[in-house]
Amino acid sequence: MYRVGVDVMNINISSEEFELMQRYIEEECGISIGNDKAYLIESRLSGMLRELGCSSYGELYNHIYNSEDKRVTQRVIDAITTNETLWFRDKTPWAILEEELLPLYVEQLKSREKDRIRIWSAGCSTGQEPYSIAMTINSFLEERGLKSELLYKFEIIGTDISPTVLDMAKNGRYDNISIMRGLPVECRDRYFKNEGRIWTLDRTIMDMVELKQFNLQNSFMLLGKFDIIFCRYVMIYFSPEFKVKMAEKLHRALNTEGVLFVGSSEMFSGHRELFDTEEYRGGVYYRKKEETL
Amino acid sequence: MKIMTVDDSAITRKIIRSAVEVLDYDVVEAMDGREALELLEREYEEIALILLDWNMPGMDGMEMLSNIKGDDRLKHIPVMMVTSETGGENIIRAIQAGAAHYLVKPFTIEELAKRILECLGRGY
Amino acid sequence: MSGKGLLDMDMDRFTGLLNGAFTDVIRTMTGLDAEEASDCFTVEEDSITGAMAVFGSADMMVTLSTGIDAAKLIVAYMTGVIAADLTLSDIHDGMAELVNMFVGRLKADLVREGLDITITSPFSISGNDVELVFKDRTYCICRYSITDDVGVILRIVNI
Repeated sequence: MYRVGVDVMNINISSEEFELMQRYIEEECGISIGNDKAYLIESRLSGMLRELGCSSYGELYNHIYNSEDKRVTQRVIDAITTNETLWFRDKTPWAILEEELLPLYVEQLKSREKDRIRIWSAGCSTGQEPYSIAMTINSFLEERGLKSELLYKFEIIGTDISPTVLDMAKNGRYDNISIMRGLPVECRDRYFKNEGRIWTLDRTIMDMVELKQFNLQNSFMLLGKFDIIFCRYVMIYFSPEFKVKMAEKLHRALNTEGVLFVGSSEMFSGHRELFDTEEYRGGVYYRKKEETL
Repeated sequence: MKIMTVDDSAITRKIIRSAVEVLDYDVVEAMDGREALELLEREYEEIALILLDWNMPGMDGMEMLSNIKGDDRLKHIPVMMVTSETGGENIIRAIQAGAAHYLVKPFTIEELAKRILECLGRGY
Repeated sequence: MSGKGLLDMDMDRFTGLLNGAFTDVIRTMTGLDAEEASDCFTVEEDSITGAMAVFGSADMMVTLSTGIDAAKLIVAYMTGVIAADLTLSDIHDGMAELVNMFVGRLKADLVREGLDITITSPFSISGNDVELVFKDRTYCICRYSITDDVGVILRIVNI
């Protein structure tokens, strides 16, 4: 039996150490971690524990807490956020996109009221959300014979803090488990090529999406303005203060009449001065209110 | 290159196989420590990473980890513990015994793939 | 044995932890949402039960029961293997692994509450008309629906 030469009592995570880490993560990353997630944080930070040669969580937390390296903060955020993603997650955003927004955008593009439509999938993980958007747009335009005329006018950007998941998204390769989660069979057969247990996404769909590493802590200025922002199941991790800041930043990043989607079970409060709530077929989305300066 | 999964649960081995194949690695499966060590005798030069369960019949994961890290031919191979055993003290024990990472079940397939890439030096 | 006993914990708090752990495991492993069921359904013939014993502050048996077809669907979502291609042995292994993950996850919560918990290896039982009789030792029962057709009964029994 293996034994390590360390007194087990000294390496147990103490509640003070966890509180130190909780405070750091909330202040530096804007992310709230409940006590029930302590076990998850310990596991997620195990790689950093090894790399930094720390022999206790107290030592690791002190190292992270005292570090002034932005990369450390970024790595902590990457480690503690959950990469959970589904194709076409929740039903209503896709109906709203297809039945409400795309017909309007097509008209605006045809009449040259707009010269392009920009869509941002914030926190896109392994790509299921931006690729679901791309498939919806591609199908919509193709079915109306508008693909060659208008497809290139839709710009979809997917961002995530983790370069590792973005690399997976860029490969466009998915296993049976991921494919089973939310992807309608007709969409799978139309847009994926199957080899053994691997499904590869059609190049046309992949080319519609630009994937970038981005930390939501940073200013959104360099990303430009968007007509639609999907920021779903991202703000659930944020502290109340950071949620308010995010709502303001999302508002500023939207074009006039721009639309925001949050997760269907998410509470998005404190937005009334910034967004109008719109309802469509039981689903809710948020439309940017005009600036009142 | 190949990634080895050592787990007495056939279902966990199937899930791991899915994540590994997407990343374009081949999979070698073993259902316990003894079978894993026999396979490593033959295939160690091709193994890029070992994913190791903690609770297995016969030789448990920690004993297996100790065997790998005590063998000059195998000790360079990164090992990630994949287990439902939680607790900071278990993680510290595993890391100090030479594990590269510690993944707690349940995990999403995306998280599993991400941790595998990190262990292979293809992540952060 | 040191630590608090399970019976010291408020029942609402305990069932809150059970619900949290169960829905988290199902969501993570299958991508499906488990919800507390409103009706008191039972699992009929051809059922399968994943089980695991827990010792320490409380000595308990945790069982997770469902119909074979429902279990097939759960294991299909866990593995990406279509239900028709799964063997009975896969289903047994899947239910045992599910209960293992659930109890591991619950253990983390109970340890944080100050309880002292040791878990054992999981196992599973199946067959026609298999009746698990726990007399009056049942500590609590929770029922969940995962899809319209899939209901799971979680039972905690004092041993």
